[in-house]
Amino acid sequence: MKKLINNPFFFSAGLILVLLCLTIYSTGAEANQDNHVNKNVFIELFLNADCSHCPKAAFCLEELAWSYDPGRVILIEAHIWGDGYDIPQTNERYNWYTRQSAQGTPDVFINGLTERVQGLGCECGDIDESYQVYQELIEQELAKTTPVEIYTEQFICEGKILVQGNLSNKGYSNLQNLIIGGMVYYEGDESEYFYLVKDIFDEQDICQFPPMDKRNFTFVSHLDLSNIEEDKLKKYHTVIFVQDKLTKEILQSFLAN
Amino acid sequence: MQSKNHKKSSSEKTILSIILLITFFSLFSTIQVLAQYERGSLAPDFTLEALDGDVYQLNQFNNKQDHLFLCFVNNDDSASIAKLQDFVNFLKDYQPRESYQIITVVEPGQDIEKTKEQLLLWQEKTKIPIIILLDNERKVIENYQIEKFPTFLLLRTDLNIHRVYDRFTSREEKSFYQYLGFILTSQKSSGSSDSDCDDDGVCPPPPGY
Repeated sequence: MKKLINNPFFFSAGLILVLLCLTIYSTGAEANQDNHVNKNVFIELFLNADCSHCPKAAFCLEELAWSYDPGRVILIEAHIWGDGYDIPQTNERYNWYTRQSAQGTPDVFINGLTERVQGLGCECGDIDESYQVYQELIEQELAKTTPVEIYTEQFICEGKILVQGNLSNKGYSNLQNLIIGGMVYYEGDESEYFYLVKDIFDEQDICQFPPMDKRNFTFVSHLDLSNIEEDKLKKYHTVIFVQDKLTKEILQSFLAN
Repeated sequence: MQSKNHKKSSSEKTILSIILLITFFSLFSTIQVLAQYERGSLAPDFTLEALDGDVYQLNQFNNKQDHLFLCFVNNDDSASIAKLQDFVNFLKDYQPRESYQIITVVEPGQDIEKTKEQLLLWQEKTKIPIIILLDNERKVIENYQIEKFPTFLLLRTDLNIHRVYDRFTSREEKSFYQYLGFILTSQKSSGSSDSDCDDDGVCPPPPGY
């Protein structure tokens, strides 16, 4: 045994093995601490066509949304204040968020009210600094986990978008006062319209969500797409999210395919 | 006894090979990452001859301008040359010209002399600060691991790679020009559109909201 320890080859090999075992053990231990899953980042950018700072905010967030794996960072662009691209639901949602605070665009909500950036995120309005501010906030949210897992599928049936899926509480504590909501966005061809919100579903209440519970849900969009060409239909996407009704923080979101 | 010793030495050899393999793979992967152009890293230095015979080194542009555009094009690929021309045409409207510098690294293709003549003519026509370098031996292109033409790297004043545009899909192209519009000052812009918005970059609701 002594000979084995004194042998440099066996000693190095042993050391590598021990390090490997420790790494595997620590990873396993972390995973077993809870059943939480990775949290996606849902970004709502409220903007207006006449707002001169909105193009910069839209540019930064669009670039960031493209740079991550699809579905990890989900961006929607919600036009407001009667600019011709807004819908009543986007105005209502913005008013719901800003009930007790000042309104102004660009206004960015990252996972609901978890993080809010009004304006460009930096005083000088420098595009690169703004980009960095948004990126840091996104990374911060991406590092988090959540007990809520969502799975959903989108169908188009007789010109109507139908979304069906389920959500599970993977944690060990009861969740309360939640809402499950969703939005349909259209993939446009220009910046500020790449993720244009076309419809927001009527939210569904979840008063109690016990541990390990699973709920099914269905949403039907108000949009009538019966006269839309096949290739344009593919540009409609749905995002489903679970939000705390009181804190207005979003616990989890999912981009339906 | 001899067989015991033999067994011992063979197991030592196996372990040694494993250690060597691990070391080799980790070193190899590090080298790969270091060699490829990457956002946030310093652009690898190089020296090449320009069309007019002058020799340029990338490092001589350190702290000389606000933006340095390092463009890689292939003369055999007409699409990549066309994209470079679009880019130069776009920049014609932007001032001051001292704030930026374009360095184009061209893979000459088959007919080098013809390529030289064409590019020299084109360089004379454009009045913007552009240097056209020929990478005859593909050394720079290989060192940067350029896979697609065109590839545009936007360098900061300290020659750190700030942005990379190498796909040029319609969406990426739009994004590229939009970004240029933000960082450069257009001669055409009136500069009065910000009047309703405050200094924090927040635009208030229009009347009635």
